[in-house]
Amino acid sequence: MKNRLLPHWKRVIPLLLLGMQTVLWSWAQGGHPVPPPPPPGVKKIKCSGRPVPQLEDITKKTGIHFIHTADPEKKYIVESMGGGVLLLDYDRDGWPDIYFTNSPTVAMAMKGEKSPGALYHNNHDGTFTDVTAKAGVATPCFAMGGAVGDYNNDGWPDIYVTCFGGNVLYRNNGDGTFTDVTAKAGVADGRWSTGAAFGDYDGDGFVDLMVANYVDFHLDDMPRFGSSPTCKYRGLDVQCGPRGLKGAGDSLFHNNGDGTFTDVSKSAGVDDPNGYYGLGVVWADFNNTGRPDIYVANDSGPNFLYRNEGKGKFTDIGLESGTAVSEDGSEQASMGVAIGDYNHTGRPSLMVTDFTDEDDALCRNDGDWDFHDVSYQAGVALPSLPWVKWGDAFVDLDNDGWLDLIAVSGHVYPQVNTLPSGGGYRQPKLLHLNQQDGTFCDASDLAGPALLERRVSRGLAVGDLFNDGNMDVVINDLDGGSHGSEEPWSCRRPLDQSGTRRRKKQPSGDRRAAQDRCRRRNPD
Amino acid sequence: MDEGKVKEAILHLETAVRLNPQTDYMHYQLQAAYRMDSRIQDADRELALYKEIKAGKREREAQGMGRD
Repeated sequence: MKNRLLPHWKRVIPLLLLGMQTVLWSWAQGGHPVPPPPPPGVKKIKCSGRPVPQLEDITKKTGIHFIHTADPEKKYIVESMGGGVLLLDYDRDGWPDIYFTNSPTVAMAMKGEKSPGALYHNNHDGTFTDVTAKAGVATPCFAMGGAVGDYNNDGWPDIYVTCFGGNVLYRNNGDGTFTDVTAKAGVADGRWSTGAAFGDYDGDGFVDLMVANYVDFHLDDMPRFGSSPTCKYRGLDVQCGPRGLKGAGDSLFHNNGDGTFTDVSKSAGVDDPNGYYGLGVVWADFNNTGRPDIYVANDSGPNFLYRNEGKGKFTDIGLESGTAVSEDGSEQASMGVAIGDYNHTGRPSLMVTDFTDEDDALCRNDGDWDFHDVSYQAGVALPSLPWVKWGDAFVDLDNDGWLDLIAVSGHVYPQVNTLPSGGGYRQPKLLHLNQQDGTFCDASDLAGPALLERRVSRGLAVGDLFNDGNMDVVINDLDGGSHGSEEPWSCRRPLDQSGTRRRKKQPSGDRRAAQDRCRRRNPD
Repeated sequence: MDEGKVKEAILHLETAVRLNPQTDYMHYQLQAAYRMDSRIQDADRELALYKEIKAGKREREAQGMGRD
């Protein structure tokens, strides 16, 4: 691929000679250092001359009425970070079901009140039924996100919910109910956990559990709104953190194969002694060794790539591999992580979402632990700059055999709505279509109104909810919907499939036909 | 560097590091260039400097921007 951009050192050295480095790294945004500007000459790659999958918000048709609890002011950081969503076929009927996490406001939590999450059963006809009460998974905790895995190898997917103040492991009983087995399993952690993922790092046939922790935060000792430089954003008083607050280390729990786990974080070398602010976490065999490695996205710090050395040991090679910081060496506020072989090399690459003014980082895996930040060259960086990006996924939305990219957005500070400029609190979503040459084109405003509707989105999960061969997208939003909508979650599905020449000639007709098909499959 | 002019980039980056020895990201970029040129020992040295400067910054931030 020909690089359309100036080599990076050519961009940076002139800035240095002008003495601008102090400007780039000033604290103009309170807790958020100003990132370097985009490289000169970089241009957006808009999709044109190709079919674009259309995504429709079908929330109202599905019978799902889940609403994530929210304090509109978000005076505390713990109120801005929740909103996870999991897809799992809990009853093994062949149809994916949905679990939404929920968390109370700080005021509610101080009074001991909880906010129920929700498990929705897939009815196979485009609708879902709330089975939370029967399943026994309503109020695990002050929830952030979670992971799905069969920890006891009984063939039934179990649920691990990450929480502020103690995580919960639900064992799937195989009869539509779950049992909280956290105490026996020993996986509560107890800190403020955010991301989690199951993976068998030692090849013993039992999935182990990696948990990312965020900030050392306590309801009885909360930093006061707007009270210090790290509680300011563009001159506004905002919630404090994560900068300025103490971080929390991470955890790796080894599955003992008898329903219990052992905390091996320290001996494995993944305990994060510096206490970076962990969010997203994934397992992937990045160098085809047969052993899964771990990647952790840290907010406002370097990310970790833990190479699995075997024998229960990991080594962080984030900086050496080019996956810890941006191409120019700046630490980013990383949040979501997606992995996928988007360029058909047989190696999983990484896509990490970041804060506003920071580009989403596409780290191309060139093999032998060598990654390159190709975000600008690949076309995914520039469209992402205005937004605060969260959940993301590599997913083939147009069924052309190449992974596309989707990411959801939403600011953490509602107060930004008073600013004359910027992306605002509610934000649209990003869709990048794979051009099959290592680049993506921006289709965010071409895929229908659902992606353009501004929301405060957090968690994202992808799967074929309706077994029709089309991948669907499920999102958990905070603060309700925009434009008077009351659905703070949304399920968006592609309405048509690309790649047919017929559609290229008659895009409008095909789109209408596809919409009709969708309506028939999903009656109101 | 993406154009394969790694040695040329190294020369420029070494100059930049000499002029701005406390600028963390210059060290990061120089280590990346060294690594691309298979000069692993040099790369590791620059990476250690990058980490040292970053750690110092973090310590200063922690001292100056704690909770009230």
